[in-house]
Amino acid sequence: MSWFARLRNVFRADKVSDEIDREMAFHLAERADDLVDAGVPPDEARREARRRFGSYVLQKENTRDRDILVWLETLFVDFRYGLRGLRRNPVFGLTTVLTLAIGIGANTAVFTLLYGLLLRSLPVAAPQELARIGLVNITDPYAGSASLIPYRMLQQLRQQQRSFVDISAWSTPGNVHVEDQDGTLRKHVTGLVSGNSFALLGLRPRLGRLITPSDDVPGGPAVGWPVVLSDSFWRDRFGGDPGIIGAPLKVSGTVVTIVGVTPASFHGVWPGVEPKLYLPMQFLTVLFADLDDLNSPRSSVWCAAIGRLKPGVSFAEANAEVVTSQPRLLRDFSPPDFTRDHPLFREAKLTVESARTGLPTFFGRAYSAPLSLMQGLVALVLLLCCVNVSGLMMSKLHERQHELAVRTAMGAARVRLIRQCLTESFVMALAGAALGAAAAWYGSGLLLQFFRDPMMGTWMSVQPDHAVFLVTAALAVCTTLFFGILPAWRASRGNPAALLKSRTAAERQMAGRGFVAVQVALSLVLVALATLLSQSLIRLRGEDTGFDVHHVTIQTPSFHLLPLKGAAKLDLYQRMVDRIARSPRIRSAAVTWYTPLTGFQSTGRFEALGDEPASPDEATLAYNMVGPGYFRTMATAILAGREFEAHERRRDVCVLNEAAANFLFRGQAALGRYVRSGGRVGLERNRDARSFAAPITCRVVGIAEDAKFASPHEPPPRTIYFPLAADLDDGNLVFLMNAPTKADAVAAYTDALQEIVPTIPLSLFVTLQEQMDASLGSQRAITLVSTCFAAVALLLSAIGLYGMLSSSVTQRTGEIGVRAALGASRGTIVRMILSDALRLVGIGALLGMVALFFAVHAIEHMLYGVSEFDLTTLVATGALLTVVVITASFWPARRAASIDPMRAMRAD
Amino acid sequence: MTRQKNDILQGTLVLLVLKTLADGRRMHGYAITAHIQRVSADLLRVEEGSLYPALHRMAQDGWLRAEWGMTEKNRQARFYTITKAGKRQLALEEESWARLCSGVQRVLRYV
Repeated sequence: MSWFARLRNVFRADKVSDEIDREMAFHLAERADDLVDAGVPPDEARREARRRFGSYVLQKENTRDRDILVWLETLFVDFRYGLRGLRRNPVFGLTTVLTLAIGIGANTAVFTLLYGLLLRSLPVAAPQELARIGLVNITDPYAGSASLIPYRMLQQLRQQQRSFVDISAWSTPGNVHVEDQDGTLRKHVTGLVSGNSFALLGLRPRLGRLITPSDDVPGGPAVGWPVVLSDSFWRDRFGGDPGIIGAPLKVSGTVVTIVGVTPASFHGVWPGVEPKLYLPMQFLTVLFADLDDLNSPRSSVWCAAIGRLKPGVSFAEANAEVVTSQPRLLRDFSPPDFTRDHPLFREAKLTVESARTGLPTFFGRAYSAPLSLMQGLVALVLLLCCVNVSGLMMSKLHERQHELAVRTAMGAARVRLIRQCLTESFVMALAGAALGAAAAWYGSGLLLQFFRDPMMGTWMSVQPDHAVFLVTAALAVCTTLFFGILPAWRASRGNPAALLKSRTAAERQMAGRGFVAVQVALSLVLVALATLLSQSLIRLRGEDTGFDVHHVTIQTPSFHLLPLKGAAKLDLYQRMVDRIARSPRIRSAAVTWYTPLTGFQSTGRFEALGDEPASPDEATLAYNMVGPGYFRTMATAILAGREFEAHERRRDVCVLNEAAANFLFRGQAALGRYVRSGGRVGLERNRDARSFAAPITCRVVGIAEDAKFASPHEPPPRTIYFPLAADLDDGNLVFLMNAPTKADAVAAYTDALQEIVPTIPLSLFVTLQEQMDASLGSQRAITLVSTCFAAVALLLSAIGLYGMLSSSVTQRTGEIGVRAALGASRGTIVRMILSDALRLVGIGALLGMVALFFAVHAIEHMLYGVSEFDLTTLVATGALLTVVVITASFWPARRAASIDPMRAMRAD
Repeated sequence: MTRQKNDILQGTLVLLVLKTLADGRRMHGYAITAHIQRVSADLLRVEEGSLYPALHRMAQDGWLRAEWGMTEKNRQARFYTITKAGKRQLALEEESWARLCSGVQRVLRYV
């Protein structure tokens, strides 16, 4: 088959046409000669030769087919023909369109998230020139690996560099509180920016003006602090009122003036996190009253830096320049001693990286892998959908074989038939894509529910845009080629003579059977993956965490807003705890430094101290600081000793969990013995680095049951608990409330807050179960998606198998009739059809097993408590497939069994 | 398009053309027409209008090789010879024809 020759013909239509003309002329001349030889007069001979030749014009049209104009013309005709075909056979059309909509919709939905999170350029002027500058090797739990730099260092770098047009500062997204329409205080994600930030991005305001350098001065401008609203906040909170410019707004207790609104397309520089308000960087000193050092040489404030490269300067050149200025910057402007001396800081390196897509965020880091995996899963589903539609088309074309055969016999060109089939496929793919895009619009929103930052309580926000439609359109074209080409190719290849003569003699649908096997293989992979993931999730959620996930509600108050420090602040926490615990519906309440299941835990090195020599192994323990009543509230059992009491506020006592006690004291009684910290502690998560600078020695007062800490995926770590000490600074503690329902906890907390500190806003209330679900967010999403699509896959395979068997029974009517006439029993015929089906499924299952062997590696890291080659899973998957297969084969088999031999054989 | 009873269906036409050229003969279209008519004792009549597009397609599919040459009457004509692919195709066509025939006969026996 020479496709190339055909393609070439499009461009040399004249030559082809000419060749055939010459050949025909020769034929006519020969015929006329023969007729003249037979005694016919020459004139009449020529006419007769013409007549015998048939329609000369028709032949010319056949060749003119290759003309481009005609090509477009027939395309339109085919398009209309395709639409008509859909109308004529609505069940087939609907099935096809829905199947494609599922495949295309799922891919579009997942891609929307993936694109928004990782690939989309910031909607600003020349985003490819944007660079982020940061110290690499400084780990920060909130904001990605290489994004931050000390604010003072940035100021200095800005002055002396020559690679950038300018460099701007962006705070990591934080929260401020603003009154709602109904008067309740609510937290909103906020960005603090240096005065040149918006100008550097080249953003134009939607309304009013944006933050300018004159706004970002210590103490604020003379006319008061300005605030810029995001488009969405402006709509939600102020109903899109253009008269809002100049109005006052109370932000975390300070009255500021609304000066402008950002453009609707701009969602901030952190993909997935959309700030609602923007304020000048210097506003930080207002938000944190105790933070007067933003402008001092010893400032400990870090920020993200976005620069714009000068024209012609490459990232490598900018990098080289920054690296050469690093030693002096580090010497002159490194933050206070405790970080400067730390090895992490000494190993830090200033780097310049592209910020075309924005700054790295928690979401990007945590969810890019699961989202890519999910994209892989839905791509598999799309493949399955294509195979299925291909199979449907195939059997559909099989029914139309006669039509096609007649057309071939009448001289229709093969290319013409292929094109018509493809156009029909395209009509359906287009309809499927339209439906899929609509579904994706809502589907991606639904998926977003699962992607949540367990620390900040915020959901990822990603907006679909035109790129998604491009992807959908591209998918439509690809799927068309994918599912349309094989049936079209086969349709054009039929042997019309054989087909027109008899239905029974048609060759068996080898390709259709192949499709069924592939479908079974793909479903097997999807079902097995879904089963493994579901089992893991069930195990994760059902496993004993060591605390009561169902009844504990968490609230993180914004007590940093109060001008309180040290012991006074701890007293306030304790007053709140006592007041909450007095409420009749509350079983117990407490405060803690860290809550479990946030994905983070602090660790340090500790050793046992005792009568005998200290244990040689220093052990790394996770540690937490908890208030009195913590273990009672969390329902973590105290196995020996007691938990902390209200007066204990020094780290001279501790509670060990069982694992830590057994490890440090080698199974001997630990109660009353001493533990000493081996050097510095807590620098991994430097939230509390200062307080642990000195070594600690503490007495073990209690042994607690093992409980999970950072992640539900990990077994409970060896853990040491300390009391909350007065030297804990700015970070907020977390309230834990054990109550029958979340509403009870909310009511008790709200009452207590109203009575004791009414100026503090409410934060999000989360139960431990919700926190756990949030930390399992991507896993839950993938499990849900894979389970849904495994079900879809099974359904599609069943439809495919049913269709294949049905048409095979139709084809073999004659043969079955013969068998019946020869005395085959109904049972024999049913067995014949079933074994045919099972043979296909067997081949498919084998293929699937091989594919599964490779696919399972992609989800290996998400499995928990199940082996990747879990026997139960395989057996269950196999059983499920068998049930589906038998169900799908039942009706065709029954129909085959009730074929009347006489009628079957007369049909021919 | 009306069709005479013993016109050859196009699928069969391929079989007949290939069979005609099978022994390596070099023939032009008119000779092929004449040959088929002659060997079938006028039972089968090639629809001349569809012969040339069919020959063209078969040449494109690589079953036939075509080249321009001179007839003994000094006319330009396109001469066809069978290729290896053409021989393979002929085998397929013959087999499918045989299957069809046997299928038809078998069914006929039962009616």
